[in-house]
Amino acid sequence: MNGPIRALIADDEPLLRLDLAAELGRQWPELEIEQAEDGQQALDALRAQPFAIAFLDIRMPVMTGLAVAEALQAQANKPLLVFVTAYDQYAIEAFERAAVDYLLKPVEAGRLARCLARLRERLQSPSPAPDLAALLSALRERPLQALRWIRAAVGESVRMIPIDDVVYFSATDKYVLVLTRDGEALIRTPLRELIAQLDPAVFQQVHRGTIVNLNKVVQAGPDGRGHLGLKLAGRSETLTVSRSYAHLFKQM
Amino acid sequence: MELKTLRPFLPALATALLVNTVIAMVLSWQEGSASSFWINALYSHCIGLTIWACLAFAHTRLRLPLWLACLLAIPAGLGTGGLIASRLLGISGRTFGSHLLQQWPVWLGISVLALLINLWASMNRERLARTQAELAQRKAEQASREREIERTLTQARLSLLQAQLEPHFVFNTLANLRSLIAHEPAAAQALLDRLSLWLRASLKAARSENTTLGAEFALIQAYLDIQVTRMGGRLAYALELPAELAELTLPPMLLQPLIENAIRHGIEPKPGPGRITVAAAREDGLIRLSVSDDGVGFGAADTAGTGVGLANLRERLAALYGEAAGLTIESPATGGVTVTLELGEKR
Repeated sequence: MNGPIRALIADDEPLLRLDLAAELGRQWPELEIEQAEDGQQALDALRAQPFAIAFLDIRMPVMTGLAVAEALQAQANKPLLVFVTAYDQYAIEAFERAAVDYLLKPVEAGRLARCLARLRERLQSPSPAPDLAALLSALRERPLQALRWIRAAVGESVRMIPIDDVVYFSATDKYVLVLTRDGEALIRTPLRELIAQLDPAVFQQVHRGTIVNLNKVVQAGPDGRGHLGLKLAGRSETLTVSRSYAHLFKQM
Repeated sequence: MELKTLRPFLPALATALLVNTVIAMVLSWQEGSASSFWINALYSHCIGLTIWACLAFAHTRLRLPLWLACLLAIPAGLGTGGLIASRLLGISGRTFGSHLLQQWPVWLGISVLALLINLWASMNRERLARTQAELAQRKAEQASREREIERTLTQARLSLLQAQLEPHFVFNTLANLRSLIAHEPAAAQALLDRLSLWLRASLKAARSENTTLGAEFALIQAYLDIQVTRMGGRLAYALELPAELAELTLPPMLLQPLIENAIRHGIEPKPGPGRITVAAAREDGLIRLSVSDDGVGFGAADTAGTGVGLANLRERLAALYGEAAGLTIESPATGGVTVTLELGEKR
């Protein structure tokens, strides 16, 4: 490699950039260091000029370090990446498995020295880079968790409604109504997308356009028009259960 | 109607024996001869107990309605019981029979009266037993509810402490400290002081039931000062605590998780400066605490948390205040997020 070796430090905490830059200056004085304050700045810098090494903080404004790495995947001339994190058990385990370089904050001098030795080695005799693409997609697919909060429009503002407070969801032409004991709100997520994110033990579709919170069902009985109707806690209306779901509310 | 207190048997038997004895005494007193008491008592007990036995058998075993059981038990008991008493005294059945035929209205009247007294006592016993059972059940329910609340609170406090000592925050702060020690020792000391203050207050809060709003704000200030150091002046904050609310007592660490969220999900992901305002006010007898930020608002998928902190807060509020506390999380049209806590009377 010709000319100075350039390294980028991307971290939103200025003192941590300062500290890492100072430590790098001590351990690898020939390194030419630049800094970025957030993910976007880091990506712009890495695309604008060739860097040999990039130290990427994971939690950064605009883009995480992982997102920066992902955006760089398509680029030729990629830098060697070192992820820097204070604590992210999930990611660290994945890094270990994929043999990706990472540093833990506070960055300890000895650990940094070992990391730099590895980087030097790789810069001299380029070896196949670890399979970042697979690692990043694995990290993206965090175990899916049931939705805990509904972000819904109430008048001009958006409100977070705890999922336990929802009595039922009701689809209208354009929106889905979120009905609680003391009011209603609007969301745009269609029912069929919504139901995939809800805990099936608690939320049950009872009609083409209705999902109810089973914990709020007070009574099920004939609604006087030949259908089964549901009475729900805190609501005065009766919900119609379509025939295909009626068996759910038959007595045991 | 079913009288369950034909069983338990002993109290019913005791009442019957008492009533029988009283009848014998009244009869002897009316006849004016004390010597006739034993004869009267023998008849009274034999007849009374036989009626009671017939009634118990007809009602609880044969499951006849009570009125029918009484109708059958009285003549059966009167005849059988009287016969038994006569034979015990060496009087022939025939003599007893003719006596009964002559005086049956008196015998019947006394039997019906005795039966009614016994039934009335039974019903009272039954009502008493039911009331006692209900009372015991209510007490048990109350106790189990209290245990449940206690358990929720203990658990919430533990997980709160855990959330408080969030490793990301702790290690980032230590990393900042490391940097400052090398480059700005005086600032390092100041940061270390804040960190100790915050740690001490957090540990104390996790162990105590109550704190004052003033102490809570001091804890928040230490925390926010640490965050200001971390973010290098990108973060600004304002604390609005009216002097008259500083001594107000409230459960500890209600605000801290909200401020953590504002930083983690609001300000941290946002490029450039951000601001957090924490305010307390008393309105219509309610204490209103709010945390507002001008961060990225909801829906920045990269930082979408698990909602554990808020869920934990909601659990604590429900356990401590029941319906008297409210938590609203809103993103006004102007941007950012405002979380408002409304606290009424603790239960």
